[in-house]
Amino acid sequence: CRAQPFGSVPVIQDGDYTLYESRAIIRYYSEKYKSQGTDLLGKTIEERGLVEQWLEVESQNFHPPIYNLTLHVMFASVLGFPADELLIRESEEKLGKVLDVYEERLSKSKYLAGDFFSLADLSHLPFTQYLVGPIGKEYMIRSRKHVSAWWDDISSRPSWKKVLQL
Amino acid sequence: MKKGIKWKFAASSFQLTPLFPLPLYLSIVWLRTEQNTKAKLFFPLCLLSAAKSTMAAVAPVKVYGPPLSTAVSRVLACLIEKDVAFQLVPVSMAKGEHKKPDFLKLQPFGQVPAFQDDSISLFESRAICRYICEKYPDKGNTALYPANPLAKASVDQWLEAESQSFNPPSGVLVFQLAFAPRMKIPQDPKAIKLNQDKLKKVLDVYEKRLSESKFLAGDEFSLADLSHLPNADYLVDVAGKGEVFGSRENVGRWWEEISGREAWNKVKELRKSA
Repeated sequence: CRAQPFGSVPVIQDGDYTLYESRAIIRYYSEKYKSQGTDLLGKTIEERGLVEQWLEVESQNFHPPIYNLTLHVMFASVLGFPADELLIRESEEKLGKVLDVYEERLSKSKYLAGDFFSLADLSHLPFTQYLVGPIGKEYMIRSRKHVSAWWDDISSRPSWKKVLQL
Repeated sequence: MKKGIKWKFAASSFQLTPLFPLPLYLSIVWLRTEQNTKAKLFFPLCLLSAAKSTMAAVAPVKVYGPPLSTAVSRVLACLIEKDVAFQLVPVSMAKGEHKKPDFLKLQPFGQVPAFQDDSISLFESRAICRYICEKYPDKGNTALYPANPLAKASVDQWLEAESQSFNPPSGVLVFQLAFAPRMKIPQDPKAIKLNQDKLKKVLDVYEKRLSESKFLAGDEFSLADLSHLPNADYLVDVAGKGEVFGSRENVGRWWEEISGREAWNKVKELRKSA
């Protein structure tokens, strides 16, 4: 399949144009359709800067430990390798420290980038859904008051519910 | 100013809406000594020009962190490419300054860099780079992060590839091969082998891409290429891994081109004088 040279999903095709890397795809569509639906990038350059900041935080700080948890707790047996218990414990600890920073941020701000739902919050939906579901670590969200409220808010958006039904 | 006392300062400048049509800038410089006493000095500066460029020249852009840090140098390279003046504020990681309360206010994860300009405080180097390009679209290198949506998406795609595929293995190798020896930390041969193999697979993909395209995102040098400079530079110059790049014809060509850029060489000079 020549569509994605790293051999991963997703890939989109928009007419003749092919694009991969999920965070590049969501940026592209948010800009392309800026004037319709929810404005996921903020209204000013500064708001956009904060969206980018928290999108990078998701990518660099949140994603690596939660990806390890997903791989080893959910998929190890399916993919045929032994789950690394030490890595699971270390990843949970790292993720906990990241969520502590989120707790502090969300005690001062309704959403990550400010008082508006943005790409930065959206980017957390898929793996957090795994965390509270099949990974079995919902307590990590519920034990943090503001993270918990934020999770309830963003996961109850009609758009996310539609995704879960697909 | 007394000799031998360490200064930490934060400068804030603000414009007072004047009674008369002259902008008046007041800079308040707070000085804090090691013993924690404060002295306030007022320097009234009157500027006659209301030109935006003058305001921009006065407005401070600050980057916090050591230039040796890969993420800090990513931001510095972008600022120099964009011809945006900045002040580099040192942060001693050896002394744990990045984990102290003052710094955590700027960067709650205790990582470098942190960034400030006249309207925002930001962290995460790739977010800062994007912001700089959006805020100063007409300054310096205007092709770094193009306005055209398809061109921009291509840059974002390869910036993400750098972030998700190139950075993890190259970051481990930079730490293991360039920093661990300096910090007297024992190297992990298994991690080195694993990440070398991963990096080779990524560079095989790059080799194919760069046989079709002069730079990663297209015909022009962009943020996507720039983002690779810090890790790749340590691997080639310090860790002796030039062969990994040089043995691939197109990757080698690309590396020669991007590492020879004036802005990157200025970052390296900053490191020597830090």
